[in-house]
Amino acid sequence: MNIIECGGKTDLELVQQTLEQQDYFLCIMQKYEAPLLRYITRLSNCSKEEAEDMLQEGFIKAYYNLNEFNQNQKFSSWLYRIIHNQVISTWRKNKARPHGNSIQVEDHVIHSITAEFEIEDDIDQKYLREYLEEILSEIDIKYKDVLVLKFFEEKSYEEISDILKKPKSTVGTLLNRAKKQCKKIIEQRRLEE
Amino acid sequence: MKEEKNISSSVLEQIQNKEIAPKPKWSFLVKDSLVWIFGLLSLFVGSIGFAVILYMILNNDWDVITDAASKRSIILASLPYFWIVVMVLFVLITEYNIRHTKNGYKYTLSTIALGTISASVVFGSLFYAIGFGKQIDYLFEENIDIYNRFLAPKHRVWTNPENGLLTGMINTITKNKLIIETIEDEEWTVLIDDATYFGLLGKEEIEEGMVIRITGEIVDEMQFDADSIKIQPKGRPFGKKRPPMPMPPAPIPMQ
Repeated sequence: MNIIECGGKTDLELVQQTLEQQDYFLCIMQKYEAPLLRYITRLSNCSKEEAEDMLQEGFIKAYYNLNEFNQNQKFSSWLYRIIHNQVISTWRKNKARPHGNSIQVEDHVIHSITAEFEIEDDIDQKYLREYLEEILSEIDIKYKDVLVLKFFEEKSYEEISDILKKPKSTVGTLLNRAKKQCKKIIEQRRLEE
Repeated sequence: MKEEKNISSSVLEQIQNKEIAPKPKWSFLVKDSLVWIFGLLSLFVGSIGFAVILYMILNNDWDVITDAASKRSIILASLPYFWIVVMVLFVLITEYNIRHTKNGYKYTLSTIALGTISASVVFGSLFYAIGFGKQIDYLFEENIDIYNRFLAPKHRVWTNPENGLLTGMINTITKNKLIIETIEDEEWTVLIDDATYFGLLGKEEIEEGMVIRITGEIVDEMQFDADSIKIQPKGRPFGKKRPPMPMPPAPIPMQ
């Protein structure tokens, strides 16, 4: 492997250099390995090993399709899209959604969801924190997609639109529906207790 | 201790070992171009469909039918269903292709559908204005039997003598009557003494081989008394029927 310099280069520069010299792909992978691994785990709720397998396959696909990358788009959105598709196709092959693996929920996620979904009641916030993992496993995948990208990955509407290949207005609609479903699940939990 | 390989290094090693190379840029350009080409072709066909729809609706000789009940009865039967299906199908194909372009996903389905329909209507209207609608209808009529029988049975709709509608190709002309042949190969005698002529062509312009549309009533077996007549322009096809051949001149007797 040749010695390469990754520091201070933009994604676009790294892509162009990768197309000239394969080794520069390492810079891209090192930059995105950790966030993409977290994204896969949050989206699929799978084990670390399964997530790593999916990430490896995703990276290989990204390298193979590197010439498809459109410079008018953010490279991270393009890469997230490939990984998203990899997760979905792995699900379809396995025909089962994995469950039981925990997702780390940071405080900023709770704060963002609370603000966005207008959850003011302290009791509801308590249930949200306790049951967020359950909510994410119960909610429809199309809503989970946008929830994970918006609150966990902190992507903008435009980025989510590019990743999921849906119009921005549809992203907004999905988030509204996700909000309703979340509130419904929280209410059910409250009644059960 | 064996050093644990990280994911990135492992992937790079796989790429090198399997000699994986990025797909060439031209393959993506070809794919994108094909999507656009199919999209535009579909839009073209959909627009042609609209042009023929316009032609058939606007040239159904509604002015000849003075009776409102008769008019209502043939409206539904005359609608160009085949071309409506063609237009809808190709609008859907165009919409599918647009959604699969690089930036097509940014637009909602309703925006793309509305845009596609609007484009088909605009281009279709232009095509109609330059005569495309008529030419396509003529081409299909002259060459495709199933078109006349089932897909665009406009002559059959007008062949309804019991309800006062008749159409046919003129075989013989006499002073006060015409012998016509319908699309179903029936020969009718049409009495024209008291008929009113609609459109640009009058009684003096009638020729053998022309197609006419008539309203009136049956007066006897295979005899129809015409109230209104519309003579179709020369060259107007009538299914696969061809005008009768002119009689050869009588031979000059040898002296």
